[in-house]
Amino acid sequence: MATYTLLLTHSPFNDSRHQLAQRFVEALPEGNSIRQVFLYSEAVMVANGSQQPPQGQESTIDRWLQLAGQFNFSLHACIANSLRRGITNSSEQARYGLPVATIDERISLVGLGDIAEAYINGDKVLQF
Amino acid sequence: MSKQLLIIITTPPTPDCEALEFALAMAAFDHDVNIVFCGDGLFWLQPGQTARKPGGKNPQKLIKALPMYGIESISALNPGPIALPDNTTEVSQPDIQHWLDNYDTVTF
Repeated sequence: MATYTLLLTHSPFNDSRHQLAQRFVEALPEGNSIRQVFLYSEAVMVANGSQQPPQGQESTIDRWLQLAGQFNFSLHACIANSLRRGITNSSEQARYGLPVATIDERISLVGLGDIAEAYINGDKVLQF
Repeated sequence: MSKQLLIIITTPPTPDCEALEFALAMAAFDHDVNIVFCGDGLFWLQPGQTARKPGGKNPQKLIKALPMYGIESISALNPGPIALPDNTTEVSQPDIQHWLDNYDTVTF
């Protein structure tokens, strides 16, 4: 039985990696668990709270949020990567005087230490 | 417990050098970080580079500084005619097979 951290590094708009990772979560055998999904580099674009997919389609962020609730894991986005792409929460918005907070507040902005600690904790870290 | 990490860089330098930022952060947490540049990632090693944006980090200087942050193992897979930095070793696929088989791998 294992605890997994999923590291996503690619944009949710360019290929199917996020969907593959989501299918991995759904298919995880009982007794295993996901600790966190960590968004790095272009993958932080999934944290944009103002996404509106075409009618009838589900956004990648909505699916991640559903899975996070169902399987009880955290969604984390690298803070530096997010800020440089305009993904900001209310506290960073206030700190830098930005016009609006753009993140879906159910996703946390964290440092790379969260991934480093996942390795220290013995998580199996899988990159998609 | 610290881990042995293999960071494979297959894409050219970006303005923010996020691949190396990741490597540096892992080293800061005492993980044993090994970096292999290959394919288009070999462009990180091209001599005479400048930062990709005003005020940005120079990839070449960043690579030179890696040992200061505890990253001693820097390799180039089949680099061809590129003149490698002093701290970078040329390797071939069999040389890195042990790392591929045994280390946690992250690819950029």
